[in-house]
Amino acid sequence: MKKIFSRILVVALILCMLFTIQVPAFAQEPYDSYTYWSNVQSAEVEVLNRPMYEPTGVIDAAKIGVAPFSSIKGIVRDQYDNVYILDNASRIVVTDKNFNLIKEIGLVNGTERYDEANSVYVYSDGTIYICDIKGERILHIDSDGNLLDTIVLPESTLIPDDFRFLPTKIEINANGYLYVLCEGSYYGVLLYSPEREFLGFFGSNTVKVSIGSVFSTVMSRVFPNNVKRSNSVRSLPFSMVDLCIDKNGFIYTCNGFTKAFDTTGQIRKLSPGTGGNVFSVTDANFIDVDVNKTFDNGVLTKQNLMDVEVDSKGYVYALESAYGKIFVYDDECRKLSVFGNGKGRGNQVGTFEIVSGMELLDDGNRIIVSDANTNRITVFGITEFGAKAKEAITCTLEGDYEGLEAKWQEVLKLDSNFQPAYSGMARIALNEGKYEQAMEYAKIGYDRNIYSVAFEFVRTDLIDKYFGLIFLALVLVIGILIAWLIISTKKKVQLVKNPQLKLMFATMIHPGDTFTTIKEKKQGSIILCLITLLVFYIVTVLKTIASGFLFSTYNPETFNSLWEFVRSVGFVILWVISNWMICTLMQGKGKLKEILIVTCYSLWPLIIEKVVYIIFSNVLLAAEGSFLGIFSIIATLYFVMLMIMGLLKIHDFSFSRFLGTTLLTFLAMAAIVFLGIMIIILIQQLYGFVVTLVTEILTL
Amino acid sequence: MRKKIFLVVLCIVLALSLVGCAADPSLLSLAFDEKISSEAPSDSLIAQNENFKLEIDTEKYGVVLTNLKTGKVWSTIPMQEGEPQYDALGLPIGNHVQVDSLLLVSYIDGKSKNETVTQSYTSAVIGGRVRTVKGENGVVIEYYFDDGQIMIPVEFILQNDHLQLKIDPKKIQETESRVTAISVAPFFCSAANDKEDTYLFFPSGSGALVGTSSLSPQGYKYSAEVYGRDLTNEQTTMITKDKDVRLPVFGAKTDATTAICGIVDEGEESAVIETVAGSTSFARSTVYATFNLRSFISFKGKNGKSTAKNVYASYKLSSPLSVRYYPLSDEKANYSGMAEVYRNYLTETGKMPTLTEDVNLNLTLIGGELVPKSFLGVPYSDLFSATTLQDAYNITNEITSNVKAKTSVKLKGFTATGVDVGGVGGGYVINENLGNLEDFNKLNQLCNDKSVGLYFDFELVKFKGSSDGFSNFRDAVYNSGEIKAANYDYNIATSLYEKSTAHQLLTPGKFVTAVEKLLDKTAKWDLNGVSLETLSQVSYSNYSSEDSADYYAKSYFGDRVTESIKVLKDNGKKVMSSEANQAAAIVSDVIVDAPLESAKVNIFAQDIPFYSMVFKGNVGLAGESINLATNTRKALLLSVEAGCGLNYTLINKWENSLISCYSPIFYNSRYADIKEDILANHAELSDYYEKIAGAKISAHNILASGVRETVFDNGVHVIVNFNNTPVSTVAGEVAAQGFVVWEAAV
Repeated sequence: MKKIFSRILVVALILCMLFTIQVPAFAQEPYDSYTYWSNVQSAEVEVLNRPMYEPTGVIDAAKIGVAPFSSIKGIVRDQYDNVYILDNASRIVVTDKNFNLIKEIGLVNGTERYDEANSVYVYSDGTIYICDIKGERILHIDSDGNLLDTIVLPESTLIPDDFRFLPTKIEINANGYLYVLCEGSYYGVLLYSPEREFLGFFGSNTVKVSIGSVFSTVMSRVFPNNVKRSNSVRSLPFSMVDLCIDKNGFIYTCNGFTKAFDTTGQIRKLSPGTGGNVFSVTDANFIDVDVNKTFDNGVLTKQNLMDVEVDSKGYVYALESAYGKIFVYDDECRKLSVFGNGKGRGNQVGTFEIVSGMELLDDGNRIIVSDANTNRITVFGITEFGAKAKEAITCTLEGDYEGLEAKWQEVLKLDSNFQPAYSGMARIALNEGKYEQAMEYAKIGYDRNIYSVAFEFVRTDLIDKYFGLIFLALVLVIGILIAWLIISTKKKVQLVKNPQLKLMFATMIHPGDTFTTIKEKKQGSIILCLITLLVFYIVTVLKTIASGFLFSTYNPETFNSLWEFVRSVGFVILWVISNWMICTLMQGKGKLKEILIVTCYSLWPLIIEKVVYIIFSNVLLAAEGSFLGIFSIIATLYFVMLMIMGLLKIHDFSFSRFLGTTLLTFLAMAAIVFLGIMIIILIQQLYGFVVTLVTEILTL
Repeated sequence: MRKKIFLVVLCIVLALSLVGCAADPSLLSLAFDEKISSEAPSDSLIAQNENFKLEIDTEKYGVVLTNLKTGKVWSTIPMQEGEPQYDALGLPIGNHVQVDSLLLVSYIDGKSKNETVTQSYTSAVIGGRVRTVKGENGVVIEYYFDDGQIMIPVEFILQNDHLQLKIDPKKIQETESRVTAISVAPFFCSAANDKEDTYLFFPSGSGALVGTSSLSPQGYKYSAEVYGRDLTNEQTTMITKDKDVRLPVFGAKTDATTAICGIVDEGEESAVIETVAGSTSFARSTVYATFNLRSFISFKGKNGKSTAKNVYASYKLSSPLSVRYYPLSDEKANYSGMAEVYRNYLTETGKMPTLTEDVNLNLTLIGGELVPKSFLGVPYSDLFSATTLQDAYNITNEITSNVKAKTSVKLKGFTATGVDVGGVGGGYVINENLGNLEDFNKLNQLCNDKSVGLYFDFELVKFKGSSDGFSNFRDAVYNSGEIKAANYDYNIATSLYEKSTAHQLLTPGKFVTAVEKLLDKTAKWDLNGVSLETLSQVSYSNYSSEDSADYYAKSYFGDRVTESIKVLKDNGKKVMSSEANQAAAIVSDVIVDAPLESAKVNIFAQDIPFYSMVFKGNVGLAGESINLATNTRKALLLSVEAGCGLNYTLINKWENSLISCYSPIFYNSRYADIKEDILANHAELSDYYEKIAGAKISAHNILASGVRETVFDNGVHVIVNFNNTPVSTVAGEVAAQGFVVWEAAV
């Protein structure tokens, strides 16, 4: 009995001790971890995947053994992975990487406060820089809190008069150059020499100009009013919110929320020399795809990147403040993993209320994130899958293919939903000359670049293998064609004997004669018109669903050939009817039948273009695809030319009258569509009314 | 004449309409009695038995329970501990008024229409009236809240080993105000802050312990609905995933030698378990049950300009509400004691099932998912066959040939629409892409030959469209705003709901019909086992005028679940449930996805395997899917700690069209990738499972950070080390991320 009692006591004591430590359990997280698949039908798709990081601990003041934090403003580490926690109450708590307390640094020189300081930075010599935004200065102190010097607004003609020195971040590169980020600075990062000499602004963002914004500006200036004047702001580049420097001296910067529907280029990798963005993909989206475009109860869902870090392998990590998510990217700007969440209400381990800072430990094997509201630091540790995936990606990007296949196989074994694994496997197969296998993997992983390279090899192999046969077949076909042309010319043999069919095909070669015949001799077949429309519809659908993988953006979920019927055939019919209505009013001489014949016969260049596209998109490489683009433009222009010639002829219009009626035709089409939509809405409402009525009666 | 006929018809129609508008008299509340005067009991001793005596505290109108043998005391209103304290004026500092209240009542004020919270001490005892009526083996105390014009009667009944608090909602008086929620004895299960040897037990998921350190004046609050949130309360965003409360039980260890355990035994579906930890205003940390009497729907202001407003149902629930409180002392005064009490409660009330089938290994085989396809450019959905019945046969055969374990196989997503929502019961058919009845019967034969339990999963809760006699219009549930309730999937990136995934929920009144239909439609199948995954883990209300008031505020939901499962069992079927609520667990043969973790809320200091401590040895238990866990080793160790069988979710074939699935069931499920792990893990655990076969968990101890011990009633102990370094224990060194099994004399 005594033994049992003593054991209970021991357990109770241990329990008591345990309650002072926050240790989470670890099999499933309270949030979704996901990745993104790119180039899936030309879009990025979010995909659930095995987490690369998992919460492995939560640290608070009690665990460190210090007085409760007022509000954690940020966390940084030094070169030994010691962690510096900036508290809002003029206090820096220093711990080792396992969060054992090393020291607390209080007021500078024992007297000077730095409340509301935004961040700290620890230089390789152990001295600390405090960005005291309230004091408009940077305090440089030693590890005991003694002031070494103070950096304030430099005197320089480069600095505008209205510039306020509100330092938010500071980084120092290996050569001692200081990069200082100031709140609201559109001019870029303030760059200082190691001797504290101000050298100028560095790496400012540029203003993005779109046709829409230019049009909007012009319209505002042409039609100004007080509201527009009060709303007008000078187009300024977005200010940066964080920066960090990698081992090679490249400076990574990030912007917060910029504007609605603007979702690219939030993180930049700047060359230390020129300040230019050296990311291989400059228009990559670094946040969630649908955020900044989606409305939740009328409010735009926004994401703000607020912290960026980079490890020695070039993996980039960003902390997002609106949802409280962490994004991990590789050096090619691919989003590898997104985790964390909370959206201001996170009360579970791994979720957040107000994130205030992020730092990497063990070169990115651990990520620590602080919360200014709960005053807790969450430690995310890399998972087995994360470590293996990062290792395989690094080897792939560095071209180290030894044993790489096994590594990627391991990754795929742990997570079938990891797109880079398929690209990686495709690259290995390509490297080993297994081109068909490479194409297979690349197709699964939607990696059109690798697919294109592998396809080129397969195509070349095919040509090499069957060159004799292909050449012979070509010569034979050309020979037969020439022979047939000669014979048919001499013997006046006609391939197409039907005069109506002949007339239709002659449209492309002799449009003037054809349209004259249609108008004056009342020629042209309605049946052929309908067949042409049907063929046009079929090739339009086939162009989408049967194009080659390298050119296709076909999504079976969103593409509907019935809708395509409305868009192609319906458009033509709408055009014909509208044009007939308008031209009849405008004294046009063309009849409905003639308009239909001209329109349908003119479609043949487009039909041929689509057929050519379907064939060649299955044969050409992506780089060779420009030919198809040019051919498409030519075919469209030829179609327009045929339409103009045909309409001018049948209506007997001058060119100016033709332009006018065409414009009115488009307006009439819009009006008909509008009326059609209104009628559909009315029918829907009537249906809803009937359903409600029936419901009410049934529930009586 | 025509005019007359027309007028008569019109009058009849109008009269019928007005009849339809009238409320059911049974739903109407009793009017508040403004005149009745207070009445104190003649004697403070209310009841007594051989173990306890029950006395009334006429100052605050709570009750005090005294153990006659040990003299230990448990009070619904905590007594002040230590020396009396005085304020600056020399006046004694008492408890916070909420601490001194037996009831916290939320109501919609009849005049202002605002949501108000009041407490019994200030509004009834001091500012209103209290009347006591002697009851059988107890007392009924009527609390008249004059400010809100509400009367709530609470019946206190002393039983052999516990105190029962009952509220009959039909006897609640409310004239204009509308009671929305009642918190019962909010500080009965509480502990003084910063006191050694104290903690709260919260039944989140597997169970969690909450520390009692002082945190802030308001403390840290957390609450969770029993059996999960009311699914009829539509949510447009889903930020995080919670582990729901599966068992209506909670408790507090109040000091080194005393504890108390609360069990909601009536109206548990309508209960919310709440905890307030570290409140310096209360000087206590507490856990308690609150009963929702009326469901609500939240409305957000347009453009997010105003905060959400809750609109409550007109009528309250009618089911009785009751909480039992079990005082615990000495060696039982801990969460192991609470588990024992809860186990005994289930046994005594005839709810605890008898073990029919232990499970060491469960394979959840996923049939398929609807993926977009196109025919000549016309889109349609077709089932991608992730695992056909032939594949299932091969997998089962291969695993069972290599593993000598008590195995069960669950077939999920094998009906018409796979894992996607379709008609009720998935149309009660096998999707032809996955095989036919012959294939199923062949698989069943294999399972019979190898003594493997085969369970075919049917979705009887979520449905789309009308089919098999179930109408999307008539049989779908309505929320408290009497709008047909829709449920959705949520976008993993934006956390917003996907409108295109909208589906309805079957009214609880039709569960039995759905099960009967299942039996009828599968009459020709060799179907021995049925899995009811969703049915066993959700709960919701129904305010449809088609149904009675039975399902208001989720009431009686559990009863309907239990009844429908019993119909299956009466027809000779074995039943598997997943992450089951108490209502389903008590009639199941096997529970898979048994919760092994809590919701990991910030105040939860430790997760404990309370769920397994209750059911191990009474129901076959398998844990959460090992292969879908972030950390597979830790998931395995959690299963070991809880004495649960291993569970794997498997598919035979993967293709990239599955990436759009919002469920993680496909990302690491390929059988070929996992086969070796299944065999290796089972080889590691086979001895352990043999030793704990049929055993119940008698105790659980946290030995050190990340080191835990589970004790089985046959004397087997297992010590699990979750740390990355080895630890020394009484059973010798336990390897990092390892475990040691040892046996002691029983």
